Amino acid sequence: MESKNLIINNSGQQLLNETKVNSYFEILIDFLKDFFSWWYIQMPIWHLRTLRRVVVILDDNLSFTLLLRHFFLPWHRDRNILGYLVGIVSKLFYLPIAFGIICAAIFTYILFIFFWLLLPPSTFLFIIRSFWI
Amino acid sequence: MAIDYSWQNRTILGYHAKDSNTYGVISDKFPVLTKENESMFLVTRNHYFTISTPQISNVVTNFLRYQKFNDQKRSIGNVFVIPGIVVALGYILRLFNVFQNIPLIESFLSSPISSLLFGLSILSVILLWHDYYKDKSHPVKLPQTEMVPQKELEEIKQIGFQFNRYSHLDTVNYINDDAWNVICKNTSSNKFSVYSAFITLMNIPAIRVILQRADVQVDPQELIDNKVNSETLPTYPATTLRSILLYALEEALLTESYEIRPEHLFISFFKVFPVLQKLLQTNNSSLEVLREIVRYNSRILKKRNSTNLLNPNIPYYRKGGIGDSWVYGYTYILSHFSKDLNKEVAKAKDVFGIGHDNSLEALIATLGKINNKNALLIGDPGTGKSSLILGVAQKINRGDVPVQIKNKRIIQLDLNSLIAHSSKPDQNMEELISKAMNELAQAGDVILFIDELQELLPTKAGESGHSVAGIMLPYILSGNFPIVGTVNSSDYKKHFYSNESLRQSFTNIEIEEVTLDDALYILETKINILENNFNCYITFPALIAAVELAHRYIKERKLPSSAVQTIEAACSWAQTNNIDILRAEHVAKAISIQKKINITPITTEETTDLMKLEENIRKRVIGQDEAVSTVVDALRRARADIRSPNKPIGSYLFMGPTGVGKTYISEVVCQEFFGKEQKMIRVDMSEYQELNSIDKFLGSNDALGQSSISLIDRIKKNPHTVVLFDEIEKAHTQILDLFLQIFDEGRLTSNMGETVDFTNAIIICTSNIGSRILLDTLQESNSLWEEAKSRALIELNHSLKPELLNRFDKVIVFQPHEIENLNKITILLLNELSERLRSKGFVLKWTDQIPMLIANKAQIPGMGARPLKRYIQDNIEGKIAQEIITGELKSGDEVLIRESWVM
Repeated sequence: MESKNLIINNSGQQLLNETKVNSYFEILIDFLKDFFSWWYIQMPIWHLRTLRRVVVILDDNLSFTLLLRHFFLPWHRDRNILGYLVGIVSKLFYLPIAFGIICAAIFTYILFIFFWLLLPPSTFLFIIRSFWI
Repeated sequence: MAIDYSWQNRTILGYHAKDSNTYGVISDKFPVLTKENESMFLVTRNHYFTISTPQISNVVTNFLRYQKFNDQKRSIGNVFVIPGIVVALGYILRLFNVFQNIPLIESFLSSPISSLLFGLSILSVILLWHDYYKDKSHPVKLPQTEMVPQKELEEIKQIGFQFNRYSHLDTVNYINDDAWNVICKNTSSNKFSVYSAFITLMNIPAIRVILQRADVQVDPQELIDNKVNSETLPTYPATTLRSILLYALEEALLTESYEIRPEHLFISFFKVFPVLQKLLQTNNSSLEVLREIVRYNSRILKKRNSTNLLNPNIPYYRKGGIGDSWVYGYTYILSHFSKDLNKEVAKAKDVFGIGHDNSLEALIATLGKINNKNALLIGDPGTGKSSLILGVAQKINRGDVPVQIKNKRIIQLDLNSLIAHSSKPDQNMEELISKAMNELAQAGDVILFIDELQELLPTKAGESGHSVAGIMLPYILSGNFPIVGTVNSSDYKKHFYSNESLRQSFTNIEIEEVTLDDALYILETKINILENNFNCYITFPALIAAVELAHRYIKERKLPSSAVQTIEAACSWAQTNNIDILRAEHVAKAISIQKKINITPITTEETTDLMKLEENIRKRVIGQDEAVSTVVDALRRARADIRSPNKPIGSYLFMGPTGVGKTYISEVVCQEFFGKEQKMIRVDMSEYQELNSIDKFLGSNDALGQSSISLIDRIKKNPHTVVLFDEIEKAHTQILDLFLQIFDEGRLTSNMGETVDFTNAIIICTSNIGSRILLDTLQESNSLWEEAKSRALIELNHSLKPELLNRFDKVIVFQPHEIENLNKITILLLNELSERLRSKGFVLKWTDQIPMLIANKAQIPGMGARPLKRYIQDNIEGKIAQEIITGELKSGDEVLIRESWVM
């Protein structure tokens, strides 16, 4: 919204009458600017932040980093040969699976971001195509 | 004591007079600036907020047009979504050849129209998504306010505002659409109507809920009665919106809100316009109550918003996951006699550790140390020691702790289960404890919590004779795992002082009673649970009353426990009495019942009783008007609740000759005001002549002494009464020193360490000091009463310590009775005898001369009214008893007191 307020010297009293009233066309332009800024600038950044959050949640719940950091710690801290063996073997099986889940989540979300970016133009094309047909 | 909501010094409102370029602070009165050459701003710890007329006019002029555009856009979007859903469904079903035999639908689905509808519906979804989500994904948030340090406030007063110290924020960015809606709808032709804005706000459901919670009735008649109209809430030039919006901003900041909402506008009106302040006063409410309710709503909103973990605007704290248990050890044996507090806290919906921020930080710091990470929480019962450890568990669950204690479990040892488990045939307590401690050391992620740690010390471990604490001591000292214990202050002195090694192995953390504001916050977190459990609606005045009255009247427990118990008792009472809405007077009623103190509002009937109290007492206590009016004044002040709450209702010393009514007045006051003569606590100070009799006062510490009832016990049982200390001059001087604390602070600490409250008692001490001087002086024919009184008071000053005498509210010297008074007393005594005989079926009568005859005959100078009693007993009662026994008098007969009986 833009306005031009002129201060009229009337005992210091500010008048609002000079404020510009936007027409519907100007309102529509403002809306379109706001929409495209939100859809193509703010929201992709937001999606990337959400993607980072998803990775953090998955890592936390799957304990990927935690188990990687304690790779050589024995199972339930049972410091004997069996404990060490079970610990390493279980992690060797589990960690790739956890890593795979995280990678799948990242890949899926990135696909979603591409879908997000392409959705408005593809919708417009779909509508135009329907007229063409 | 009123609650300090800590609103002060968080925000500073200032004004700038552009003509003279001067700045000032707005504090007591809140003006509405109409001139453009004056402006206002708001300063917090780190920011300053401004607002200008062009900014407001930008929005006001175009807001409604933009809103209309958005509404139309939404409507169109909603219209196109529905056919799109139908077409999409058609596409899906076509994939399964459902419409193979319905060529009409098949052709429609293949036509351009269906593609167009489908495309338009997707477009509508995109637009609606933008409309709904743009504010949620990128919300504008007001910064949280902190207390402005006193030093900075002084600097502002002396030097002025240093704006370069703060970051500048525009107020308009924080006003939400609903608030703009209210402003725009009530602004036209360059004018803003406060009255119509107030009416618009009153019709908003969220504000109706606030008024309901505040127990404030605002119906049209109420507004008319309180002169709330367009004159008292006038129409201003639109430029005044600068002031109004800044006041609303202040309310938003103080109530911890993210944005300025209509409710902030609403409560800012109450701050600015005196007519609305008066409206609140007539409803027994205040701006603070409304503000607190809005703050409560803000906190609920924040909690609701913080549950969405995927929202990147909310911090996420790592908790550990599947592999968490792989990395740490088992605690198999310990799990049999313990419970996992992290799991308990995760299930509970409460917030723990409120009001103990410093203690919480100290505890977390202790647990994170490398050495000596054991902590002992010391505090009085009910201060929240257990809540503190639950607060730590809650923080660990959220991940909001330093890395040293991240992912730790807090295990609470259950001593009773341990003892029960060890009593099994194949179990040995020493072995059990050793195994459990080894498990703990090996697990690596456990914090052991022992509630009431002092219970461990005397508990013996089976046949070995060692105490459980003794067995655990090496593990406590080793520091392999942190241990947190709680202990009451009195038990700490008793059990830990003597045990040096145990004492040294813990870091002491003192847990103080929470403030009234924090206690109110704790009660607010329990509103939903209480309302669901007791099926009643709880108003905020009820919560505030629970905190204030618990703090004042329930001295045996500390906040917040006393406040929680009070509100639960009040809810229970309300449920029993079919009350749907819990108000402040219901809480007062619940406490009155519990503590046997009348703190409910004064009723009309009670007003009459209180005004007639002096007259009623004077009918029974003859000739001591000064004493009667002094005591009645104190009782009226107590009932109207305008006296000091930290001292007894009154403390008086009555002196004078024997038999003049010093003790009798106490009995009458007790009966007339408190309801029962038997309620009076009478202490004969002649029993306290030896110092060792102090145990009768303060209770005894040993097992034998605990079986007898001390003065402390009697006051605890009956705190709202008359306490009569008879003949105080006979008590040992060190026992009299205890009175200094009673009179000054209204409390006394027993030998067991408990504090007893005397603030709801009226204390009357009697003394015979100076009675001989009074009688001798009056018998001298040319002596006046004032001279006799002065000499008696001089004698008093020599007998009692000045610091004790100085603490009495009044010292009253009782006059010996003259013959007219003795006559009146005789009539009273004959009336009492008449009542007793009436209950046996006899009617007692006497002529007018009889009372004076008895008074003249029976009086002994200096002996007061007692000789009259004895005379009536011997000469009247004795004769009547004789006639009843011989059968001369039968039930229903009239008994006339003869002169021969008297002469």
